[in-house]
Amino acid sequence: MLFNSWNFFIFLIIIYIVYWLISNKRLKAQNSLLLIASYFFYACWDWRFLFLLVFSTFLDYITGLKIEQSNQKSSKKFWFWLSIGINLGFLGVFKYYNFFAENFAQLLTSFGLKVNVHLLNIVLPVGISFYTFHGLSYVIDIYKEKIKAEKNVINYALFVSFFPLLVAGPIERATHLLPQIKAPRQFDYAKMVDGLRQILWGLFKKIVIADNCAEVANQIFTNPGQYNGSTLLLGAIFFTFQIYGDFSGYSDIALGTARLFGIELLKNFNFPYFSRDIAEFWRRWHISLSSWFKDYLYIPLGGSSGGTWMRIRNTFIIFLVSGFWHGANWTFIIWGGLNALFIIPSVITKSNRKNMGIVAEHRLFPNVKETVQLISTFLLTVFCWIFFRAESLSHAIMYIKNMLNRSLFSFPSILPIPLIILLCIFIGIEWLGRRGNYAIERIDIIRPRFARWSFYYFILLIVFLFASKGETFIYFQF
Amino acid sequence: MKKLFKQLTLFIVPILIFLFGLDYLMSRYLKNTGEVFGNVTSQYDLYKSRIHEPIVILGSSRAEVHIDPNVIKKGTGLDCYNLGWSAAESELLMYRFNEYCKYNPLPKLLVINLDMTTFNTQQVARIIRDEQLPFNLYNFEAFHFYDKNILYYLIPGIRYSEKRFLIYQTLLLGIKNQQLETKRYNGFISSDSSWDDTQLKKILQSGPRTVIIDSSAIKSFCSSLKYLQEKNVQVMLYYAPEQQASFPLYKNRAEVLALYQQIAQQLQIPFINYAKGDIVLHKEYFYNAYHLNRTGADMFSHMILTDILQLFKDKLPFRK
Repeated sequence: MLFNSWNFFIFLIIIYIVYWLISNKRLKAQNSLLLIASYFFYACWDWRFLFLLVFSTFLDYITGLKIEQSNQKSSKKFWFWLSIGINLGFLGVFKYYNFFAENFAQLLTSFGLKVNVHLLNIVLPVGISFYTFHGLSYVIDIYKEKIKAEKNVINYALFVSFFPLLVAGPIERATHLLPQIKAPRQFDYAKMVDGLRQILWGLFKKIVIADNCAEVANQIFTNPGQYNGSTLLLGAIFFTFQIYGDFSGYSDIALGTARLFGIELLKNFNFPYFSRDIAEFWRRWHISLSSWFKDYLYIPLGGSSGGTWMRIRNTFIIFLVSGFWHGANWTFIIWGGLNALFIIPSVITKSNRKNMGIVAEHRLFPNVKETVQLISTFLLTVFCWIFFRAESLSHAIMYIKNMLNRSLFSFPSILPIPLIILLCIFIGIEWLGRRGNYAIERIDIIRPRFARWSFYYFILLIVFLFASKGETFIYFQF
Repeated sequence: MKKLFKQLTLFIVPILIFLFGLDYLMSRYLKNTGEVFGNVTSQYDLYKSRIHEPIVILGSSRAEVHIDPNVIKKGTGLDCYNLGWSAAESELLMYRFNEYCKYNPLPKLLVINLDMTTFNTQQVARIIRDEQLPFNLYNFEAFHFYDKNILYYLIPGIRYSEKRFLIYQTLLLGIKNQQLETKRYNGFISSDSSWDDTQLKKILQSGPRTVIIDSSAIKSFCSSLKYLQEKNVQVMLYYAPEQQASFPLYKNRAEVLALYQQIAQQLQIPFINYAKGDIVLHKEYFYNAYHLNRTGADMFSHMILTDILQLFKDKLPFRK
């Protein structure tokens, strides 16, 4: 059940009405309904993997309680490592086993040893990376005595599997989401309207921007040898917008949907393509994952407290792990490594926290220096995305080779003007709305209502006319 | 909560007005687009119950561009309608025929074209064509056949989402009150193009293919033919001419043709293979390996007319 499908639309209406009409002010009923709805939502993908989700939930629920109840350190440690081991074990088997087996076999072959490795013919359970990280953060926080273990199994199960965030995040923290699940939720008109508005913007990003860009990007990435350099650059730029529209669109729909049920999820995107350096980009892109790695990997490794070499080492580790989290392919690891490489100069010069505010905060346009910074950062991310999109390393290298030659300065052989106009409108709206939580958040202040609604109708009309073939969300594969 | 529902209702009303209006205009003016969006005029004839012809041709584009109803009419004295539809495999053929039966009287003679891939239904994606859209509202047969979301069939206008060029062209013609000319006559359309084998060469490069016959498709096709026989509808099967350069494309071509012969024998209906006469040797009669041009179609229409007259002289009221 995709967020951009009619099935989800019907599902959401039914759950919403039942939630507020029948179970208003009854917390237990609200949470139980949301949990059943979440399991139903997940079972629509593949009911067999629902058992895995339920098992993972119970594992972390029980180990969480055991860690808290244990008086001895060794017992605490046992339950902690049991949970970490099984969680990462599942992730390892489903997501990384084939990658390691293949690479191990290749390594042995290069030494002249022939081995027949057994590869698993299994489907990756949707959302496994996301719900595993939910569970991990919960168990780690209990072990470090940052939070108390949740006693109510329904509350905990809902924390792990709340349907708006179940399959592609944002990666929530128990400290943020559990208190909301445990608190009574009241119907708030302004929040409902805000949620619907964010869903509308998410749908626009996904259906209009991402799916239309995907058509062109797929065509170019499928046969990079057929196109000149400028077309390949354009293909990479279209993919850059595709992945942003796709993932941030998904996050907007998730945040908006959660808000309809009175729950606020963590913000996942903050206009990342308006960043002045790569460090700022990573503070604005997939924020819930970046902060997860910061809190549970970077800081435990020593963070920035050590010397320069330690900072460099830690930066590389979290970017490589982050790349690997996305998928078991060298392309993701190189993508992570490249981002680390681009961020290192600012880590060495300690200027990685230079651009913390909003670009051109009190101005309509950026100045020359900011413009150069914005464009150069954008182009660096475009370059990195080539590795992310490519099927293999050789594919990425071939793409870049064909792109970076004289033909880069020739006229592109594919120039979809309507799509470019749509992108310009999109960038314009995002730029004007960059001070908000999402681009059209502040439309609310427009008066009279007629003008505000005209804007919504305009967005809906574009969605109606420019809807592209329903592609699945890219991040579902992670 | 009441306030939210009130505001949402107010917000949705203009959207519904837009969707209903769009649906009405598209249904009204799509026929004005002529051949721009496919077999539009035939769809209108079918769904507006305008097909009363006693002879009906059913098949893929190899029926659509091959048999001229005018030739059949002149030769038999009976009106003829060509229901040929591009890329129609057996299930799509029968779906179209069922839709035809729902809105129009049964014919006296049904002439069905079979292709190599007619029963190769596994590989065919069911895509709703533009010309069908006006007739899909509340059409639950279409819903079952195409398996798209039910809301497409229940809420007016939604079917036209993504179809910006179709909407633009149709509404533009509607505003101008203009109707594009169609060269179609009773479903038949011919081409003046000359021989081009570029596509065939490309396909042949990838090597010969094997037709995978879907036995369940044959079963349901046969039961539909039996039903027609019970209703006293005469049926004729044929395999249309194809240029001989295309013969090597399918490894099991002979087996497929033998299977068609076998089906015809079982049901005691005639089957004629036209892909073995003189016509297949001449490239000047074809515009590509599988389709006859205007000259070829005229020649073939006369060939099939002769066979119809001979096979059904005692069963149909031909007038000279």
